[in-house]
Amino acid sequence: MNSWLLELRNEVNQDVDASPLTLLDLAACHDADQVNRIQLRCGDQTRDVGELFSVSKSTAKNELRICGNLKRFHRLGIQHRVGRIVVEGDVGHYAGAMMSGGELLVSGSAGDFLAAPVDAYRSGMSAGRIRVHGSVGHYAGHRLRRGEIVVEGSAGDFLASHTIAGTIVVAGDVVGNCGYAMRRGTLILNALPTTSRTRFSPPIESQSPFFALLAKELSAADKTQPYQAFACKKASQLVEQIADQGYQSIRGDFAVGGQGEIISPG
Amino acid sequence: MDEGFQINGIRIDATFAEAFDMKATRLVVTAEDHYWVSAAAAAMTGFGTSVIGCGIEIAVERELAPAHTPDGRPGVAILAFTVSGKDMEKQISRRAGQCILTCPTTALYAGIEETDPKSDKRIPLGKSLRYFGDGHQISKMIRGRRYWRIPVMDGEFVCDHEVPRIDGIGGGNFIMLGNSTRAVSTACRAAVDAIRPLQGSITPFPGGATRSGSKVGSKYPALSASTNDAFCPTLRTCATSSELMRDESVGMEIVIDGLSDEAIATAMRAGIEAACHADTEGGLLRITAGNYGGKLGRHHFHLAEILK
Repeated sequence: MNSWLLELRNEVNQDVDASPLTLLDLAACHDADQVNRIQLRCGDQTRDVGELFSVSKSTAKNELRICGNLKRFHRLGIQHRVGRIVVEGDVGHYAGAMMSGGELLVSGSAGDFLAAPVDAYRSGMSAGRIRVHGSVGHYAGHRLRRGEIVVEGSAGDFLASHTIAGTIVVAGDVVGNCGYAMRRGTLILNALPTTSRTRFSPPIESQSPFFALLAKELSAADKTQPYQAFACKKASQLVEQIADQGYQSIRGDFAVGGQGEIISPG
Repeated sequence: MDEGFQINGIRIDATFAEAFDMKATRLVVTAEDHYWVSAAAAAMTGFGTSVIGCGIEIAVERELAPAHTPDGRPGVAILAFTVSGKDMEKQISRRAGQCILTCPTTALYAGIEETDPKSDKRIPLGKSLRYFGDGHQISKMIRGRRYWRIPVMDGEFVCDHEVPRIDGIGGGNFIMLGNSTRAVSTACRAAVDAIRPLQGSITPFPGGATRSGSKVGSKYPALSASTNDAFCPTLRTCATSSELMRDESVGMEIVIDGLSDEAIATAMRAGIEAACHADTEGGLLRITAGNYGGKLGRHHFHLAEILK
């Protein structure tokens, strides 16, 4: 399987549907010409990858690396299931939508609906790992089924809404309505959000060896390539603090009969 | 009887220990402190001396420092051996549920590295224990490994979903014979102390040794094993097959289960050498090994080869 490096030639001012840039399709391309001919919807037009990116083969294993400001590139990594997609820069909406495996690493920030379902689908990310070194927009982790999302920066509204399982760590600030209608899953924050007592339980203090396992995994990943460049140190420290000193958690959302957990250091 | 050779004046028979294939696994138990680790391990490994009556041979392999456990707390590694995979599933599930889950602050992890490709020989841990959570249990995947968080009265019991089962070897052994209980007991303890730090092997009998070594079969059809009369001093005069020599009035056996031939051979070598150099005041006279003529197991540990 071939790995590719795509470098954005010029900033794009129109919305681009990046869903054709799947790692598996690109891995099947034998030469740069094949990659260059992949077509992307760009506003009302269709443009070749070669027009937007300079394409070269990469020596990395099973990886697609895209460099540049991809803020207008949406649906990148949709249904990604194996290998690693690395974005050196920002990425648009629906990044990692409905991922079912593999990894998505973003050195900048991600738009709205990170890992969420698209169109009429009901399930978001079901496995894999997403790391965002910057911040994420609204509805990050919407309808998350499983998998791990680590955000070094802050998150917008409706973080982890309708989650069914999975783990989300956000080291920065969180706006409102996080955990809305969550049924299961774990949301780790640096402080408990203000929530309605009819929807979430009062905070309880506890300790679990599980967070030591999670902390170990996060810090071990930070030390390996290519994670070093995307290390979410604040997020790792947050989980380590929870592992060492215990945590306080609230459970809910009772409005949907949920028993998800929102956790912060005790 | 062959002449054999001597170590520190103690005769080593030219014979072999006969061991057989078993199913094996390793578990790691951790807890908040050593008190609870020891309590959990003692319960988990209790009544696990021999497959003949316990269905499992299980013991602590070694203590683990916090830096070497999955969750950074004090722990122990436990090795378990059974005759069949079914026995292993039954025994581990029950013991995990009654001995580890019940013990305050503990967690239970797989101690066998995942194989590539993933082996389909698995022993359920959280896979069966999770139901204790009555629907409140939480499943978590970390790096493809599934853990369960089961709510309990001190917080959460965390355990692996399952543990791989591997092939092991049971029945490595050597028998110490002497002219006094004190001397053989001293040799025994020295041998067990030398084996204890070694990885990949256990001595499942009480204190690491047994005085009721057995032979296969019995005059009573219901029994699959009975006393090893060839080494019973009180039967020296009436058992036709006695293998005891003059002055040999006490015998004790160390049985070793291991994850490989090498692990058992290493443990036997360490144990025998420690026994021979123990301060037995001349009371330890001979070291031999138990075998069934080579018909029971395919692993033969010749003392001369191990100790050369």
